[in-house]
Amino acid sequence: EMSELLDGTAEVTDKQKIEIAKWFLLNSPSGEIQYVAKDVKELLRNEKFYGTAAAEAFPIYNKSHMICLEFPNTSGEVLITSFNEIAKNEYLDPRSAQVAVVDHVKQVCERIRPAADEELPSSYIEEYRGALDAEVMKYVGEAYPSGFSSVYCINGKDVEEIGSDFELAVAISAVKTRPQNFCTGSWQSSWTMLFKDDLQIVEVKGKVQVEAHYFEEGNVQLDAKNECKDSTMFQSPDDCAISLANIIRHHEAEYLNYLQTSYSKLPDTTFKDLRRKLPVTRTLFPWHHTLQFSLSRDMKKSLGL
Amino acid sequence: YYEGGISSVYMWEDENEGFIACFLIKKDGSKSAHGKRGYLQEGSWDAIHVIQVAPEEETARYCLTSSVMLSLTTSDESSGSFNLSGSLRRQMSMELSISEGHLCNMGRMIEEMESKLRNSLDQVYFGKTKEMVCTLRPPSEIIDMSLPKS
Repeated sequence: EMSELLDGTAEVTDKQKIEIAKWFLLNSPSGEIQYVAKDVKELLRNEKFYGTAAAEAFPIYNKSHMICLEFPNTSGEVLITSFNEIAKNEYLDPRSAQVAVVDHVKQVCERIRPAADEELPSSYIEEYRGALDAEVMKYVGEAYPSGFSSVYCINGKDVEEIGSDFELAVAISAVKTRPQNFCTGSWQSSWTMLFKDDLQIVEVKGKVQVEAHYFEEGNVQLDAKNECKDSTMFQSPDDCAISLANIIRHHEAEYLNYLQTSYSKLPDTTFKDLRRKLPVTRTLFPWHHTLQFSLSRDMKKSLGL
Repeated sequence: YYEGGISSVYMWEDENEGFIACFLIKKDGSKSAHGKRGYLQEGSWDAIHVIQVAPEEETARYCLTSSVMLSLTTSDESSGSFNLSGSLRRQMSMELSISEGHLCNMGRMIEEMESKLRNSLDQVYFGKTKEMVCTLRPPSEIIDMSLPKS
């Protein structure tokens, strides 16, 4: 089926067209999906197909890239993630106790409403969530020139007192788009914190995803991912917040270091395995001596002709 | 240059008493293939050089179009995966004396072009993506850690 598609002999079905359109949208580099959408629309020349592909692709893209949308009254922002999804187009911002209603395809927050009591965590959980949110905000303010963060309770939000487990999630998202400089990039971290009551520890799991795209007269993309684990003691909300923010700060700084080291290894080690800068002889190839090399002569020799 | 790798050359005549040559190079630099240093989980380099040759009296005009496509992935247990992929295409035209023959002329042009592309990728393109990462999260020498109050 694929070979028929590639040599142009197969008819592309409507369903396949939508899937291909979806693929292009989902794989757009950070901050470039609207440019890709414009091109995909032109390729498809079918409003209905584009509509279907976009309706399916945009929500997935927005959540995996943890995009940040401004409130209509510019009083704040909301991150779009799987952690704070209340309904298909409703996302909770615990910091302001509001719910944002969004249009995924337009990537716009259309309106905000106050969160209902049952959408918010208990005051016990809110002590932990709020303290961590404040510490993470401080860290993100220092470490990311254009970053946003939020903290959500993803399990046990109705826990009222000591004695039960609960789980918080931290989302950090930074995007830079400079189309006039042909460069875009993004950094997303998500950290889950499982507060275990019996062991009195907090189990931390982190995921970082970094992308960058440079496309001036060429096209190169970076796609880097990492996962890590850590833990700390289950203490008071303030002490936990400081400890956990330090864990995040430490691991993310280490990861940035790793990325920088990977880049520095490229010229003489990793990239060298694809093509050396100079031949093994350390001189340019002797093109004027090519009469010395002859495939047919070598073959004749080894065949004994 | 490749310490492994495969290449093919195809040539055909064109209507102006000249000819066109196509030099294709493919390298799999992953550690399971021809990656000598063993850092790459996945690594592929594809170069396509198409050179049009138009002979004149004592010289010939050469028009070279080169494309390089590559993808490299390093990965290890503790640090996750790191992938750079991309493509570049450039053109170069030269009029050269044919005293040393076409092979010399074409070969030197292709070698110069390929090295230029390789260096451009390494220094400019990879460098710009690194610059973007450092713009998103600038490296800081001082890790300012708060201490718990208790």
